[in-house]
Amino acid sequence: MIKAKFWKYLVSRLSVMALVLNTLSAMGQNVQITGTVTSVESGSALPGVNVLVKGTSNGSQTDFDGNYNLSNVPANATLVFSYVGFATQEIAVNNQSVINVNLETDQESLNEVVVIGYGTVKKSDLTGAVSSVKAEELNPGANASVEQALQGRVAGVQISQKSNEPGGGLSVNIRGAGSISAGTEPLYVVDGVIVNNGSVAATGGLGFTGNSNPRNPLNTLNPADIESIEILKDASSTAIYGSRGSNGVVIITTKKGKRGGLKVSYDGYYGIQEAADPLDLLSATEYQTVLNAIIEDGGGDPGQVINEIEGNGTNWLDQVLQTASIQNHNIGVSGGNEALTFYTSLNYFNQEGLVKTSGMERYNLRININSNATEKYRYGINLNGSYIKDDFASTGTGINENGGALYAAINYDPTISPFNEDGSYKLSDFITIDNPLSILAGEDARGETFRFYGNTFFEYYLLPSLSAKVQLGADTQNVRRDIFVQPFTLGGLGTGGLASIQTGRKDYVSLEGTLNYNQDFGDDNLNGLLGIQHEYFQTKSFSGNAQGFALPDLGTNAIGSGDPLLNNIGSNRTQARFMSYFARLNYTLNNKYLLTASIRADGSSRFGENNKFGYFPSGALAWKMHQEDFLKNTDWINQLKLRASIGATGNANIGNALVFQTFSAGPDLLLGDNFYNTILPSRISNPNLTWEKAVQYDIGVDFGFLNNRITGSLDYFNKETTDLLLFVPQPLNTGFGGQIQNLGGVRNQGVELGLNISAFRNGNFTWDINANAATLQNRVLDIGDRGNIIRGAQSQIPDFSIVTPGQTLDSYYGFIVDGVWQEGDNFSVTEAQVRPGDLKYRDLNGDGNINGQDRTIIGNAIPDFTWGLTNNFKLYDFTLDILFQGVEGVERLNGNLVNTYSPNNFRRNRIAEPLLNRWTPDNPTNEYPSFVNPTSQGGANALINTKTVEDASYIRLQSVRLGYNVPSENIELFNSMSIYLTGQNLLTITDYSGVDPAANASGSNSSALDFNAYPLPRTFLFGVNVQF
Amino acid sequence: MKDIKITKIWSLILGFLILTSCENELELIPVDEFAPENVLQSEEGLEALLFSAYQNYQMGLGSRNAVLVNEVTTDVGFVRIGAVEREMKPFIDFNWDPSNDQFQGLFWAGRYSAIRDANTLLDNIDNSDVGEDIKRRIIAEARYIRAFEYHYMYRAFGLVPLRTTTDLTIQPKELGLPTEEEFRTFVETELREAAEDLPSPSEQSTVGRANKGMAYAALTKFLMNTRQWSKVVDVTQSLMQLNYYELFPEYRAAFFVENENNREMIVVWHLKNEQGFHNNYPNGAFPPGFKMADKIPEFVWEPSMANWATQFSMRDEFYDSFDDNDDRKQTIIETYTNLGGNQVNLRGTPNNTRSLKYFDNDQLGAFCGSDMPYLRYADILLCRAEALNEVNNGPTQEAVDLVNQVRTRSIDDPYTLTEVGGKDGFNDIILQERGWEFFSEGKRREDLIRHDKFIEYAQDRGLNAQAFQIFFPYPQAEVDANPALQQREGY
Repeated sequence: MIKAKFWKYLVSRLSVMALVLNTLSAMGQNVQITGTVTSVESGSALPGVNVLVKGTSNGSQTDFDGNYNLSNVPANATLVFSYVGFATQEIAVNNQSVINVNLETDQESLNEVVVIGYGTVKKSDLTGAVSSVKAEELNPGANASVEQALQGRVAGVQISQKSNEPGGGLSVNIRGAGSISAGTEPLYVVDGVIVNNGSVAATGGLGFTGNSNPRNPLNTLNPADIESIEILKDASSTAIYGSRGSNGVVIITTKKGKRGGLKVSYDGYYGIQEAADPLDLLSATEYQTVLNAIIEDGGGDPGQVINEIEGNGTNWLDQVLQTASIQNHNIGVSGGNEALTFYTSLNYFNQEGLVKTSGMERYNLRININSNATEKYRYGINLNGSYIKDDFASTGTGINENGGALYAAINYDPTISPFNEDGSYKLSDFITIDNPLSILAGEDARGETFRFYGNTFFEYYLLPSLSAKVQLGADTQNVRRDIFVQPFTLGGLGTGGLASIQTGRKDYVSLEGTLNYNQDFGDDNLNGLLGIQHEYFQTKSFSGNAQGFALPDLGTNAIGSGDPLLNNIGSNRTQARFMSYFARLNYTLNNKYLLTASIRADGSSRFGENNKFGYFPSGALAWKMHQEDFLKNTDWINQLKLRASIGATGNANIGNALVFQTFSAGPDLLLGDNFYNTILPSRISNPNLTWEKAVQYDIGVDFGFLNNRITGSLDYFNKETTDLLLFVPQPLNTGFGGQIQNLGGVRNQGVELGLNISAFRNGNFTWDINANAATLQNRVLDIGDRGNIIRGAQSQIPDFSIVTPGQTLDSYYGFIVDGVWQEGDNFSVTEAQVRPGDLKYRDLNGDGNINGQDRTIIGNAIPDFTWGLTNNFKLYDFTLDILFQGVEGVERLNGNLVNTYSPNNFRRNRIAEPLLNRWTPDNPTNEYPSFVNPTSQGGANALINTKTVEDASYIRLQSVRLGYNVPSENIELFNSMSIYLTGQNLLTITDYSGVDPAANASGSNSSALDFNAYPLPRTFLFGVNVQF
Repeated sequence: MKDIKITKIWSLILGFLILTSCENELELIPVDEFAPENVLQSEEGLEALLFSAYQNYQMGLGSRNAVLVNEVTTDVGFVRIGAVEREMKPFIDFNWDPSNDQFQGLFWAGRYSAIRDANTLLDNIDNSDVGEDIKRRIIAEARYIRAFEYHYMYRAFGLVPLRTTTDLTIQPKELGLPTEEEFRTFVETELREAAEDLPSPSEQSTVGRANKGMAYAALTKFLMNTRQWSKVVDVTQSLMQLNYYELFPEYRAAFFVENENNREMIVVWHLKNEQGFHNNYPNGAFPPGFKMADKIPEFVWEPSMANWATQFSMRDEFYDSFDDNDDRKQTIIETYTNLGGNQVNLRGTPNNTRSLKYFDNDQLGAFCGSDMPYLRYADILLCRAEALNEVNNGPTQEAVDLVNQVRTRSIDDPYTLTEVGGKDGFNDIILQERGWEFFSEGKRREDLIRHDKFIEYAQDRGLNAQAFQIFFPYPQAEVDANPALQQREGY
């Protein structure tokens, strides 16, 4: 008997740990139990119901007639009966041998509450397009920020990591990009308080090329503190946020304590990261062979022939990259009594960077205290404090002598050794870049961020159905960055060292008062909200830099020890105020017909005096068809709700001072050897300036079929943004490049599908599928009559994107490459200097010249189609979660290919594939040029072409998590424990030749450039969750 | 009891919220910018605005490309390799189009920004209560800068919109071209009147601020490029009569950092070895691995200096046209010692000699502190010679002497009146002399255009150059935004 039981455990758990634990388990008297499970409503038998001995993995499932049979049940055990769409029941065995059960339809899942702006609503009563993600549905694995945990989870929410450095910036676009210059990031609301996002200090420094994407401000929120995330997508749900709702709203609710005993939990993981797909560059021998051949063909200076490879050459990428660790530890303490509940957590997160000397460390503390509902009042306080230490590697878009470590490693000569004989860093005679290792060692950049935010509220019930609430929210963020460039680097040579300190503070205060009314009238319900809100924003910054240090040892700790004549300082302060009034009405008729109407009036100091207030109305209707008699008896339909909404929102992210005519401090004037201060007219002010306006309509259906085993939503949306904030080019002869005006429009439309499928359920095995997919069509409608906006130039890459009516926002704009000029082609149709082996650019206007007028649209950076697919498997105590994610119909400008096709120095290293297969008279390919005459035609514009703008569609195996719930019924030390292994970014399928098709160094969301992207980390984690 | 208290507190807070909701809360004047009512009242404010006009007028970092564009389009200059080659390629190939950044960046936007600052100052100065003397001087400086910029743009584009006030009700944003006559009259009158109120060069205590000589020099160049020869003779006379300017005794040394602001320099782009204010011509002129060159014994390249990938060089025919004994040829190197100590000959690659007119032993990184001259006294002398030749329909002794005054500083081989031939022959001699004298100073393009050689020379180089290309196109951004302005014929 005992032996048989031993074997059973061995088979079912396959875990040494489980074995150890099981030998500890106390033996009792065991019985066999049978019974039948039926539905309360219909009285019919329920097949496939899970029956489980509580706290064990011993379980079974009902057969087709609803019968089950379970053996080895301890006489004092409790059975758990669960079935999708029905309320779970627990029944004590109490020595019974037959237990028949009636399951009730699960009202709770229908009564699930969803957080919306300034309130909550039952999920079943939603009239808008709101996606809700619970904590347990967030992406597994190492997530520095909430956005990473959401990536690929929600239909119509495209999240991509712009830089893969630890804590690097992300772009989040909800339902496309509706703004040309006022930003496309959604509004974040944490526990009811708007988050004043945005970076505080600049990213660069004197002699240092910082990433143009600032670190993600939401790194200061510990993902483990999140209870749920609601994403408001349609206008009826976002209009309550008025002039800031047009990019969608992300509402984050943090965990609250629950009544009951003290709960202490620990979760943590440790893992390693490696570069997933580093660039495939020429090896030292390939480099020698190919470059010498190009010189021989006349494409380089014979003085630069490579005669020898020092040692075995140097793989510079290997020199600057490392295998890096990542760890996270989280301790949560929560609990509560009749009067008060609390939740506190302490978090430590440390991610080393794949590029040496980069990384991020976070310490985070959260305290949430809430009063328990008494009859008359509720109050609560939520506080979050965090401290982040950033260590930056120079990964910006600087070039040549100012290039960062990755830039240098990609471009540096692989045939030379890293060091000279005397131990100093070896410099190439032919490349105007510093030694990558010298950059790593000599450029030190650190950042410290303190952020403290929270809110407190008091709600008083004047009547049981009427409450009044006051809430005070505040957010303050303090940043300091220290950068020191050593005098031994190329950039610091002769300067005695370059030191910069940048500090900044961002403040936000919000005070709001709301009245809530909620009353049932039979089957009808009326819910009303009336509110008023004041907000104040302030940003202050100070920066200073110095050079000429006699002794660089003290760096930024004694910045005053530099040459006082070379000191530079600067400061800045901006502020803004918002004053808002809002109201919302929800009416439910017969529990079938739902109506929502809302309006918000926003006044802001940013708006011109002719437009101080904006009004943002919305309305929505929904029809719960499944409550209608004609569907009530259709068994397989559990929910069918049609929704339609329309509303107006805005984007007020328009700068604080644009409505004022002022003079600003200008650049210094140098005459002789003396500097003079200047002032200049700041702008052509615009007293009519207003928010950007978005009108969106949405038609959707929420459904639940087959006992809610299939649930989901399908939405069509059409969002038209007008009065776009545009830097409208003015005749330059006015002395101003342009004026900020409200002009033009962009339309985003698409279809979104979110689907949850409970694919398989058996006592010991379940399989759940969560899938989402969204299409997006983005079109610029109008940009006025001032001509196309062509922009994006940086780092010697010319303007590469165009904003023009009828096309996707910031489409790539460049030359079409029709192949390669071959010997025997008719060269009379083109310019005199063109030779066989040169790229054949299409002469669109047929004038025989290739110049700016031959550019056309060659792609865009907004995906046509995004999708995510999650599979969760559970077998006994094992869980397996697999997440795929992908985008289709998207292109990206690959800066490394640009440098491959047209290197600044001949002797720079390049991406291997095009060089190894280059055109030669013996290899008359149409794929790659000869590289003999890289600037054959078109000047700098030629860098943007159909070779360098690549298809950036990808399918990615985002994460795989294998978990094991350690049976704990007999362990006194803890209540539950699970361990898991996670792999992230295990596989990416793409035609894109860079390291990450999602990388974007441009600093803008819509105009995208991959420039020496920080490698994508492939991460392997081991983690544990324990509840004490 | 307790509930009542709470209700009271609550209504107090709500009441506060509603009461403070008045709209003037929403007036937040920017705290880090100056209010226009105050700032232009004082001399300091007016001067700071004037300095902004100077700041735009000073070519600064743009001075390098201003030289390159005006030389790679001619028989003098060439650029190979790197990003600057990509920038200059359309100019080398005579294949530029209106969207080219250089037109807007170098020759248009900054010029009109200076004009904006000058106009703002001129529109507002009457309302301030500063003294009349100060007013008169500041007004003269603003008028000089404004007219100078019109002269400067005329070199690139010919006629451009003539904005003379910031008041958009008087001159709307959409501003078309003036007539040639209006434009000429404006520039000439403004510079002449500015010259009257400006201090003479010896009286101007602040280096670089406008003086009479600068106004006359700019006017000379404008009159030259509009071929108003007899006026050139007048104006150069006025300039010479200031008795201030003279040729620096030694050609190469005239450009040395230690000799900056010598009396040959009239209008100068002031540069310094600091980021943003530097001369970055030498970084492109240094050949690969450059250490030093025999011809330039004053300079040794240090590792703390930049040496760029890109290569600014001189065309072979131009280099070979110098007499070997010409000191000016010593400015251009054909051999050098590299960092490995080896002697390198640049002539192995065509068009590969380097002008090291500008260098700075205190260069830091890419930041060379060497000034770039825009108008030198030598230029005035040669302009006068050219104008005299035109006015008198042939060479005169005075004209030949003027050429010799410039020439004999560098080579002891003066021309005689008989030697220089007729009007055309002497004109060609002057053009050639100007090439030798002003390479790396960005003058060649306008000189060739004035001598009707710009297109001819380009065609001689095998390029498909067309007559309309003597003018650059108006920047695409201006044409897009300004419907009143028609793009130039041909573009």
